[in-house]
Amino acid sequence: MRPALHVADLGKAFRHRTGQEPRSFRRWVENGFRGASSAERFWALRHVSFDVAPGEMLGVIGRNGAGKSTLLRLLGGVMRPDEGQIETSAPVNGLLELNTGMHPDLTGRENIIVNGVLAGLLRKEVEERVDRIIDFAELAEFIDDPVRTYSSGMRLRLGFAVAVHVDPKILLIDEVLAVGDLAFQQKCLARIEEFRARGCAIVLISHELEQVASRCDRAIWLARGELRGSGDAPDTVEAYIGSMRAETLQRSADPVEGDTGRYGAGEISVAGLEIIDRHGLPATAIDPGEPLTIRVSVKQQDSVGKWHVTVAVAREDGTQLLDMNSDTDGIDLPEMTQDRRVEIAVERLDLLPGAYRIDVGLWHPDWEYAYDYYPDAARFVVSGERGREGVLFAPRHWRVDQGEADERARNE
Amino acid sequence: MSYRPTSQRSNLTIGLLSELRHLRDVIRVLVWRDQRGRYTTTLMGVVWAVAAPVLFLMTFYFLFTFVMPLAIPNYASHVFVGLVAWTWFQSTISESVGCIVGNQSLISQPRFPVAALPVASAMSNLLTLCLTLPVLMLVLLAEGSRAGLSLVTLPVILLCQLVVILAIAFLVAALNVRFRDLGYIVPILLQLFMFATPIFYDYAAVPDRARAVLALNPLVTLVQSYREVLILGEWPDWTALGLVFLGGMVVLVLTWRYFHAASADFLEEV
Repeated sequence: MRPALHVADLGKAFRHRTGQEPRSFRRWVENGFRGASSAERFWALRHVSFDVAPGEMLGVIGRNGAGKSTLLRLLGGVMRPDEGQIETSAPVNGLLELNTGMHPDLTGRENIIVNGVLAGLLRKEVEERVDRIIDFAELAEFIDDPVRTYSSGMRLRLGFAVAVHVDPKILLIDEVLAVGDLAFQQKCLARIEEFRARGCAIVLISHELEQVASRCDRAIWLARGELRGSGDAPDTVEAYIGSMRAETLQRSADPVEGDTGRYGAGEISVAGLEIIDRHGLPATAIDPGEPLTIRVSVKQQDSVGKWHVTVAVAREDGTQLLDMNSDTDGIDLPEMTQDRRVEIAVERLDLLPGAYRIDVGLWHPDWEYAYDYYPDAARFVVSGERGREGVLFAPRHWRVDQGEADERARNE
Repeated sequence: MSYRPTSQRSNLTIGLLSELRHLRDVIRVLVWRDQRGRYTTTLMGVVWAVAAPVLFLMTFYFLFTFVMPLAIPNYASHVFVGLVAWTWFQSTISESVGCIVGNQSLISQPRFPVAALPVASAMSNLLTLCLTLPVLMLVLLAEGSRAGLSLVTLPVILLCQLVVILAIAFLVAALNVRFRDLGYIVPILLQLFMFATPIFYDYAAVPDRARAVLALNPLVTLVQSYREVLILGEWPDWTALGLVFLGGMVVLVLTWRYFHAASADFLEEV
């Protein structure tokens, strides 16, 4: 059968942003009307070839920056390839960004028309489908209210409902499947399966490897813009995961010093760790329920854009008691272009008296591998009488019923 | 190595006709969204559309009838016709400057015809122009306009102006993607253009030497033609209008081709 999508030796080069090319008219005039010189170009994507048959679902996996989004844009026809060709048997539709054309002052119904036309339908076609779309979005009661009164979940449902009523022959999907509540997600997945049964070719980009392995027929794995692997989806995903693990081990600068369990690629590393008590002084012991600040000094070898830091408090046997990380706490760490210091101030640490250790980790932004994972980087003691069972020291008051006689005696 | 970049925008098998129909619908939807977003009710729409030119009209009328009399007959009509035509031009051009940069999510949508953005802006502002027509008619009637049969040429003049507007709109829209300071330069140029257009003064009173420069401004011919038709009830100067149309078409083809060529790289630059 003729493939729905045929990609042959595709390549796309971007100019390096050197800061030299004139970005303003003034600069251009000042440079003597000279444009960007044939500046360095790097290939965001190169020598990529694959076919997608009608009814087939192809997963695209790879790290951030591997060229997945560039591939999607080229397939969508919104960017021009520098090499190779894309042949399509039908117009390409995208499930990329939902709600692109949504206007908050228009009603849900009006926005359906706008979004449907912007997604590639004729106005007449959207009007024919409007009832089905409203049904799918489960928004019948609110459909004539302005969209600004909708919750974000409702907006997403509306956007998705429009997008899945375009009846595509070739569909590009970028991550969006992870939105909405579970029931709605299931509905959308069912709808996509329906497309597939009708012969729609689908290209899915996802970080959820599980999803790629289970849903896609085949997968391609991109690394630094080139095809690293392709084949059955589960096999490709497995190969990708395997390489990620190997990479973390391989990158470890100093393999294992003694038996510390420290590992990491070493672009940035933990240079020191201090425990600061409530007086702001370095300490090795605190009292139960006292505040505690953990200060991590990070040394920079290569510059790193985004990164995450984890700090865990653990018992001596390694049982983690408190796990803190900058990602889930929503902390945006500045780029590592120089050595930096990160402090976590814990307002109170209600741990039983005893000895504790701190594990620190510096991680790749996608948690793909560790820059430096340093267990047992420091120790501290919570002072007091040791030897009790349990983990926590909860601040507490005792109140004991003294009996009526005592009660009366006290009242007199 | 095969080196044949193909763009799907031109590679659609569904054919040019349905692509054009889709383009038409996209423009309609964008205009509609723009208008609905601007005004919550039609009445308020008229009020707001009219408010700006009417305020300008009152200022100019006061200035040049009482403070510095210019002695132009039917001065209110004279100014208002010029202002309405100018407002269409000016609003569209200033909107077009940012229309690509400000709509990144739209231009990254497969099958979205990017060229619809400047066109939609021109059409939306034409609609706003239509909203001011009732007030324009009131002013014309109050001053005893002699408009008659030549009114049938009005659509032709509007078409000529649309060509001129689009020719410039495509250029600034595409150029601003590369040169971001165009957003600061264009308003200044527009201000210059406004004074180079006989809106509040009379072209007949301009000295010959200055006319040589002003004649390069296509808006001069357009504004004059509107006045001939709407105020004097005469036929427009077909030679001048024809030149504006042809010149506008030539420039439009060039700027559209530039826009089309540049549009493949919009996403890289935005």
